[in-house]
Amino acid sequence: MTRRALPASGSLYLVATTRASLPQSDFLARVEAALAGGADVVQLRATSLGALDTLRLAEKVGALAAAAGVPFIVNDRPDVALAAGADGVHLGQADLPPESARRVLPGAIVGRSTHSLEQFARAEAERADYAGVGPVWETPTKPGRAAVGLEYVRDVAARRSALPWFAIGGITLDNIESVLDAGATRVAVVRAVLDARDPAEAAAGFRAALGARSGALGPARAGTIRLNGEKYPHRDGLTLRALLEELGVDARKVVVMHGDEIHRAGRVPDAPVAPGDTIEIVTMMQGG
Amino acid sequence: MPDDTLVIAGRRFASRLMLGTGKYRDFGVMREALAASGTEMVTVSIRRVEIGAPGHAGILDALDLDAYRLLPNTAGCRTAEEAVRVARLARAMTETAWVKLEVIPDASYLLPDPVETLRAAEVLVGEGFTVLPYMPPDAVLARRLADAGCATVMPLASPIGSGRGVLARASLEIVVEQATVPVVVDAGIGVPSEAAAVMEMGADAVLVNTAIAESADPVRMAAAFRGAVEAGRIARLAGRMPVRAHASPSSPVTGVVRMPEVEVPA
Repeated sequence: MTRRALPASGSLYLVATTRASLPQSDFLARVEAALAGGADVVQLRATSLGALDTLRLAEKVGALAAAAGVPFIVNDRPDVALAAGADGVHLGQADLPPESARRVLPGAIVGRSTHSLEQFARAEAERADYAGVGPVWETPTKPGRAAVGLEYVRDVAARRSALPWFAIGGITLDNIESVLDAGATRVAVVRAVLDARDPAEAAAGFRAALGARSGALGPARAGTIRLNGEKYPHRDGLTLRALLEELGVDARKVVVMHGDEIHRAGRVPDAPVAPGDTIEIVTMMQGG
Repeated sequence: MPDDTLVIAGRRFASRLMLGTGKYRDFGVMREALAASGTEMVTVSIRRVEIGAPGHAGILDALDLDAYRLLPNTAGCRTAEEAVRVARLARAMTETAWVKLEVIPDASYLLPDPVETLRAAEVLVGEGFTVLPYMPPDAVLARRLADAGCATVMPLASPIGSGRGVLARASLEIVVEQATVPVVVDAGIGVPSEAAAVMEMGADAVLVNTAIAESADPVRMAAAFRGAVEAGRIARLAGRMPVRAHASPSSPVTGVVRMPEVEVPA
C-alpha cells in the first residue's frame, strides 16, 4: 500500500473525536467540511466505541481523507489502522510503544502524544514520525489532564528538533497567535473546528493563521501545487527559485522537474509556479 | 599480459569491479571502500528531496567525481514510464547519459520486469542514453536488449541484497556464452569467491554493493573483491583445465619406490 506522508510545517491536524451526543452522519459531515476548509491530516479518535464500530467508522473517515488527499491516522489502535488501510496510528503514553506498532504497521506514520520534554526526547529516540505537544490548555477532550501550558511549547520549539510536532489542547482561533508566538508551526485541534458553526470556515481560519506565520505559505484557499507527490500550498507570485529558497534546498544540488520540463542542477530558472502545477525536486542519493 | 581492458560503449575500464554506494555506515567508510576496491564506476540513485528536512544534501559532496564515473540507477521504478522519467532526471542531475536501468514491480524478491525493461530500454536508447539494463539471467532477453542498443546486460546472480551467491548458474552460463555485449553480473553476490566464480565463467564484470557495505570491515572486503575479480578474470583468460570423472596423477607414474609384495587395502 502506498501511504500518504505527513505534510510540511504550517499544517492543521484535525483530531476527529466521536461523542455520543453527535450523530454519526453529522460527525462525518463535519469532518468532510473541515477537510474542505484545509485540514491537512485527520485522525479518528473513538475511545468510547468498540473495535467493530471503530473499524466501520474508520473506513468512512478514511474514505473522506483519501478523497481530500490527506493522511488518515487512527488513534490508539494499530489493528484498526491496519484493517482500515489507514496511513498511520497515533499513540498515547499508555498505548503500545512505536516499535510494537511498527511491527503491525510497517512503513506507517506513527505519532506519539508527549506532555514533557522527557517524553518528547523519548519520542525522538523511538523515531516517531511526529509528536503531539500539549495539552497547552485544559480541555474537556482529556478531562483531568493538567495543562502543560505554553512553557512546554516554548521548550520544544527551542529544541529545534527534526521530529515534526503539533501543539494541541484547547487551541482556538482566539488563542492560536500565542501558540504560534511560542514557536509552534503546526497545530492540532478538536472542538475549535469540529464544534464550530461552520467547520470549513474554522479550518480555513486556522490554515490562514498558520500560513501567515510560516511566511511564504499562503492560506490553503489560494490553491495548492503537487510537490514531490504531496499537496503543498501555493501563494501568489510563487516561482521555482522562491520555492527552493523557502524549502531550504540548495539549488546547485537538485534537479527540478516542473510539469514535463526538467531543469538541471544550478540552472533552475525563476519561472512562475501556478496553482495545480506538478513539481518534483530530486537529488543524488546512495544506491546500488 | 596483453591489454585486457573492459570496453563499454567505447569507454575503457581497467577495473572489472563496479560498486554500489548504498547501505554504508557512513560516507567515510564508503569512500575508503571505493578506493580499496579499485573501481572506476559507482552506482547512485535519484530520490525526491525530503520536504521539511533541510540539510538533506545527498551523496553529491561525498563522492570524488574525478575518480569515478557515475552510473545512476532507476531503482524503485515499477514501470517503463517511471524508469524513463527517472533516467531523464538522472541525466540532468549527473550530466551523464549512462543509466543502470531497473524496472522492478515486486518488492519481496526485487525481480526485474523483463517486458517493461525492454520497453524502457528502447525509449532510452532512442533518446541517446547509454543503457545498462538489470535483468533476469535469460539469454533470449539479453539478445533482445542488446539488439535494442543496450551497452551491456546486467543479469542477476540471486535477488538484490540477498547474498545468496550464484543461484542462477546454469542460466547465467548461457547468457555469458551467447552475449553480444559485455555481461556485468549484478546482485546477489555474497562473498569474493562467488565474484571470482562468475568471472571464471566468462562474465565481463561484476557489480557489488551489499556484500561489501554490510560486511564487518567494508574496506578490507572491498580489497578482497578486487583481488577475487582480478583472479577470476585472469583465470578465465588462462583457460581452465578439463573436468574429469576420475583422478589423474600429478606425479610421474613410473619409478615409484615400492616395497615388494605389500598388501594394499582395497
